[in-house]
Amino acid sequence: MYNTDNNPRRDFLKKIPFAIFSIGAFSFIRFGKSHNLSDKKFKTLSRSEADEIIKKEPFSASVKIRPLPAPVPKKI
Amino acid sequence: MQKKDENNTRREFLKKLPVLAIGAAALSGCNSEELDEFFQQNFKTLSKAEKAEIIKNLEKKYSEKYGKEFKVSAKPATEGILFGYALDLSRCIGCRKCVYACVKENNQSRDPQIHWIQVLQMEKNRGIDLAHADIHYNPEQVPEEGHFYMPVQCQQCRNPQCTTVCPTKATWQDEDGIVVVDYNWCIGCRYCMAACPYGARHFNWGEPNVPIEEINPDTHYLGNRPRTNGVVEKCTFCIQRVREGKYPACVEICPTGSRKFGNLLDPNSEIRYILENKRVLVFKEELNTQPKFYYFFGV
Repeated sequence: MYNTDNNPRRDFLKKIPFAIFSIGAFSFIRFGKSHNLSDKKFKTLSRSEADEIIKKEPFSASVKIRPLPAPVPKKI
Repeated sequence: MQKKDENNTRREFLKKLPVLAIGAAALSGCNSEELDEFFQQNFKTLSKAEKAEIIKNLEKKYSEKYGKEFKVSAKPATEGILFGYALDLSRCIGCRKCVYACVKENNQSRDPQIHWIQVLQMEKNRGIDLAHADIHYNPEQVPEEGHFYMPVQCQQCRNPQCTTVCPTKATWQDEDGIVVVDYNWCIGCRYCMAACPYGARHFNWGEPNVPIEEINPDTHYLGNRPRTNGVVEKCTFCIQRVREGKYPACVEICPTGSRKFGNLLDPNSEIRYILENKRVLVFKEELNTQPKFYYFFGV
């Protein structure tokens, strides 16, 4: 006797439309913390804009000190 | 014919004997603490009690080894905090004080030398040009005429490629945004080093060498506790300090106040003021790593 009540493949296929519908319906729920600050507008620069500022502005520092030792060059 | 298919249990047993003997010899050479450490699970998956036990053992081990009272913290991230860093390119004079404050605070190896911060000297007329940057500059005085300085360290990316490639999940981004490494789970494959576009990860090719009198005993499990050879390490924004409400060592030492640090989620923080009012850039923006380390122009 073949038991037609317990057909896992058929059960799985039957549940797919419900799963898709559920994903769509509940997609507004976000899990976890986003932490992306995407709603904030910051004055971000591209590299070329940054280069322009570096070239134009002198950044003259009145402090002049001896630097600490340079890192030891790595042997290749 | 039938006899051939049968398992010859005596022969199989004799074949396995040498392997068993080597295994037994290897295990007998370890004490129970070493065995516990070897079989320890990933730090993220451990219970509070298991973490406490591990921390206790580590404190005992380090205190005996270095002859100092060691504190190993496992303080987790605080909710509502996302750490961010800003560095004023127009103020940095390239003195490397941050480099050595970081070395001291974070117990980095002196020889072979490991520096989590690398200060790049660049020419003003070229702009940000890595191909012509120099980390070995050594003039009498800094800043040198016609040059600017760009310190580079872990950018604590929001989209960190180093954690994605780790095959053992020994490195991850904690809730406060700090990318950390579980040194006990790192297998030293260096995939993360290859994935990091900032050269911010460093491999211990040899046993780290830190003079006992200079060792910092205030440590964090995921930060500056003593490392062994064969593991990768990196800047953690001084996790042992910032999770206790202090500034990172590099921020404190900077003589020109170029370095700013704070909570990106706090709209009244200094870092948010900088992001909202100054001209800000992130390093290698085109790679979409989304750093939380910002460079800005204070002038």
